[in-house]
Amino acid sequence: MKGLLKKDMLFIKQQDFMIAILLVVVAVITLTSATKNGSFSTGFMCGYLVMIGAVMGLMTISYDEADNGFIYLMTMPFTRKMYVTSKYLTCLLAAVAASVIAVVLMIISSNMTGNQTNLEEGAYTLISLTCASMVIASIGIPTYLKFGSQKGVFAVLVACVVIFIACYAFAKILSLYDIDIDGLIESLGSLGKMSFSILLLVVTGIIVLISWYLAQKVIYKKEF
Amino acid sequence: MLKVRGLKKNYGDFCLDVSLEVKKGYITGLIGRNGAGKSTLFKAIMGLVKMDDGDIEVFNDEGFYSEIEKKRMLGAVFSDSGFSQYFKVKEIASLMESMYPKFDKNGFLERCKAWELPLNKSIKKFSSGMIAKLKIIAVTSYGARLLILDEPTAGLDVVARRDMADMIREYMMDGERSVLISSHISGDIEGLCDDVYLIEDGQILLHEETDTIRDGYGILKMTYDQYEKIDKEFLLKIKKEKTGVIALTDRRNYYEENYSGIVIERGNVDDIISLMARGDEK
Repeated sequence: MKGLLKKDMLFIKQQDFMIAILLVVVAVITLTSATKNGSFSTGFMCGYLVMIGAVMGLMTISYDEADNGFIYLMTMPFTRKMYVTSKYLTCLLAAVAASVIAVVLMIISSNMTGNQTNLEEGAYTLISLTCASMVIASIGIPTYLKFGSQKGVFAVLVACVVIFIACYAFAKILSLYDIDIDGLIESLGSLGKMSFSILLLVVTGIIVLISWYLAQKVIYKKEF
Repeated sequence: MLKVRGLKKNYGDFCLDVSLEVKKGYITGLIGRNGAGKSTLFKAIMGLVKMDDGDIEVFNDEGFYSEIEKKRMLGAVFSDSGFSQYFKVKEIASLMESMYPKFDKNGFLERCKAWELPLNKSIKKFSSGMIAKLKIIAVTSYGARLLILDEPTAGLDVVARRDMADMIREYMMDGERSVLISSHISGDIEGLCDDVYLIEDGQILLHEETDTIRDGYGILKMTYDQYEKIDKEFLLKIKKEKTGVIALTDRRNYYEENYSGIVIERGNVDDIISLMARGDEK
């Protein structure tokens, strides 16, 4: 497992220049909007960094696949289950790193506008962003393994659209039975930040586990 | 070391149906044309493709090993796959050290230097010959007991192919290792292998020790009249041409002693492949 994670970190390191440029862009946009407006919105920055975290992890599958690399890779001393697990760990590490950067930028920006952001709030933000990144990775990993990285990009987009449509349809069905969706969502908001974070971690954990199980099914059926 | 029994794999109208064995201390060659099924067989041995039927035993006569333990004792080279092109040799050394407990990092780097492979350049800047050398150096650097080499000399010049053959011979010196090597170039196989399997259209046509091929096999070239009179018992395959008949035999001495008028040549792997694949029954 150590070797697999090391390999993925080397792949990500190959993109150090691109990552640096992206981070500089995000930092500049976030900090200049803070100083200009006296307030700032973290929405853009958080969403952007969440995507970077997920994409960095998924990109390692593209690297493995390039130039028929899977054939040689699968002869090395690890099981296919270990390979799949390493992808989730890589995505988690990338998601945490991206989230930490987001929280740091958030703290700097809020201090620049005179608002104090405490560490507790930073931790909740870190958890939320990491969970969001891992949900994207959970859709992407089995999709990339099934369809390959080139088709996988489109497959992930399709999967996101399908999930959106499914959620919309579910909400519509509930409303037909006079179940108050807005009330349910509001009740989530009334949960404390800690309770909400724990709920988020549990839901994300379930999604990751289902995805991990599906990814194993995909890779064990795969021929190289 | 390796036993393949009744391995079957179907791809549309191509059917692989193979049995072979690699003994301890042997370099076994698998020779055949492009598309004969060599790579498919090697992928099946390495667990990269599923078999439709049959059985593969690797190290089974030595006790039970887990999948990871077996892979640590196996080394595979595929001509169309290898390390990621984004890595440098030093990075590959670091990765191999993490994956293989017995990896000899210093020896690996020394041999890369000896073969003039730059340690700090990414592989995408290497020539195909350099990549082939790197693969062989890597696979012989962690004490693998069985090497599965699929066309390892692809892209190498004559000198480099000989160097690679020397490296494999040196690797075999402890007598406890084995190699299964495939090629469509007979010269790679003849001088290196202890025994040879000939594969054509997914089937094993012949298995013989290379000494027996060299000493016992022969090509007979005769007129149609001579062919009518000859004892055909020891002819394996024949090929009728306009000028006469060419025949393959595994009893060259018999025909040399009894038919002095016939042109008889020593068998080589190329002739054997050609006649076994394209020849007719006698």
